[in-house]
Amino acid sequence: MTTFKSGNISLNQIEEFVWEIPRSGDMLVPARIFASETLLEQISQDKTLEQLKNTASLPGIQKYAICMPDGHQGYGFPVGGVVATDANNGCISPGGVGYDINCGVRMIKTNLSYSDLRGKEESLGKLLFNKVPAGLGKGGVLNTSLEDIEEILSLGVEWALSNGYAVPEDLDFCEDRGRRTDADPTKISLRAKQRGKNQVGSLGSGNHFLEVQRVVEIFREDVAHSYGLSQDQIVILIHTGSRGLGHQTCTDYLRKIEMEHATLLSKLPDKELAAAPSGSQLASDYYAAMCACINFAWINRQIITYAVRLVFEELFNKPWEDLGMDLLYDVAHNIAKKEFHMVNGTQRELFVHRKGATRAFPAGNPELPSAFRTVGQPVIIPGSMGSDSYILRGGDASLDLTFGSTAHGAGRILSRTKAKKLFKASEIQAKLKEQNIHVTATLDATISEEAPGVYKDVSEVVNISDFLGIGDKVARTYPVVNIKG
Amino acid sequence: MEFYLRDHTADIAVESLAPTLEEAFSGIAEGLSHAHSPNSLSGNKKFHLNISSESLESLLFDFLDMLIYERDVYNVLPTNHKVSIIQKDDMWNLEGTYYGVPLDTIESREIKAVTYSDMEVKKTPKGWRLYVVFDV
Repeated sequence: MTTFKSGNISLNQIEEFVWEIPRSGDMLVPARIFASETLLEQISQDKTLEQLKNTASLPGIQKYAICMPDGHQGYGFPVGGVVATDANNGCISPGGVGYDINCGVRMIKTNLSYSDLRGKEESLGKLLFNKVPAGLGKGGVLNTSLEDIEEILSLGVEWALSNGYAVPEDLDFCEDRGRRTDADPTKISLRAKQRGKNQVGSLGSGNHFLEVQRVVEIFREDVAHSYGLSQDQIVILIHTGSRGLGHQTCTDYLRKIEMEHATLLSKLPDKELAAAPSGSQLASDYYAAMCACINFAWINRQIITYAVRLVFEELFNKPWEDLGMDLLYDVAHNIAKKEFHMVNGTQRELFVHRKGATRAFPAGNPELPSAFRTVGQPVIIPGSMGSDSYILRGGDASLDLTFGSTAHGAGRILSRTKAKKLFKASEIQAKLKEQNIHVTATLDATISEEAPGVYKDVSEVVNISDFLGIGDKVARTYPVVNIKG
Repeated sequence: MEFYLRDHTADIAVESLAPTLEEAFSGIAEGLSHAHSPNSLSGNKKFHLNISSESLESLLFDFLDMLIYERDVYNVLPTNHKVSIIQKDDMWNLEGTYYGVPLDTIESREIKAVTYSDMEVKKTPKGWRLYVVFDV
């Protein structure tokens, strides 16, 4: 048997691209890492494997703790992790979702091709940068009141539909139709609502972005056709989450769990593993609060969609409907959902925590919009700045291997402090411009910190996902215009 | 009082070392400010904070959480921190002041949240050493 050693952690290779840390010590189940040896080398450079082992001790955890090919160190839980716990006899953990609840990505289609955009890139970049706030303290596309926030938390994208910022198809092609009905705005603190009030329709910063892209490669013609994707087509990616409202909510519940379970938490290797027992009031409150944050994030991405449609209308002097700017799909990659999965031959209701991992349901799943039921759901994998992004299709093996999940991106390998020393923003910007990629950012530091060299190779991540059958490659896109905070 | 921005794969870590606990707390807060915007800044408007928590670690967590919250609702970057800390019965109390730099006068990155990950609040022979990881 092939083994891989990282410090005092030993992994056994189960099959190609599947590695296992056997159960030991406090682990209730093994841990599985889906990666090549190259990626495993990178994953083993920080605390990812140790954190993964720690998550395997969570009450009610099922099968194995999972690390995706793009995994890297997080807090408590690694980023790129999937942890499924028994919804009735386990726990739910805010750390397994992340601070940016429903950070996710959506793709908007167009009927434009790259040649329609040539010569307009700078203008488009300026218009988008002026229309969509990116960075800190820039406000949001909309000025909302606390009353609006209450409705948004409850209704999700239905609020946008009622107020003229969405069309019915925007709900049809969003995970859960853009509304978690389990949401309860009363479980969100006033502090969180106050933070979110000024951020409706905003990108934030860090690795969030708005990117206009062109389709450069099609891998599966039939699926691409079902998705409405074609060679040279212009598409738009929006990557952002629940902003300060979500961040505050995660913080609030971490503290609530800490105060209620202080003794338990003091025994954990990391307080960020804090979890509320299934069936407890706290678990129920967190789930309802998280669902409300999920709704807020969907509204955030929807309002940015609305703004992007207006920009394209201005640039091309046509209604956005005539430009074919329909939503392909919206996927969350920081989320916990109650889902039914087969475990040891029995259907069990689980909390599936995906922190930096994307749902990837295959064909036949009844939760999918009817348009995707025979083909499987789109999975959007944003690449890092200046590199490819991918559209995948939920693979047939995903339910069996990874609780219906795949990776979410490329995963960092270089810290922000190191990146700033190695990469000069102006040089990165110039280099990307030579490749016809136009980047505008609020902060030069962002460009350095998000430079192509700081991330794993997204194509390797995606190839592994395809090989394993958890997310099949459909198309590859390449950046044209990128806006960041 | 010193602070250092430390390496962390995806986020930002701040370490502070100071002779007193209060200076160390202020150091982390200044490090948080520096992580937002490294240029030396000054603000005119003074803000006051009053926080109680059950432990020193949770006091540090709640203090930094409050700064991030006030940043978003008052649209200022908190700088030039001064704090005093007392322990009364089972609770730790912090009173602090800072000066707010209006966000629309600077370009700044957004720190999402304070985390408990790898947090340290430790008295060492060299003084109080604090270490905090922030989510970016």
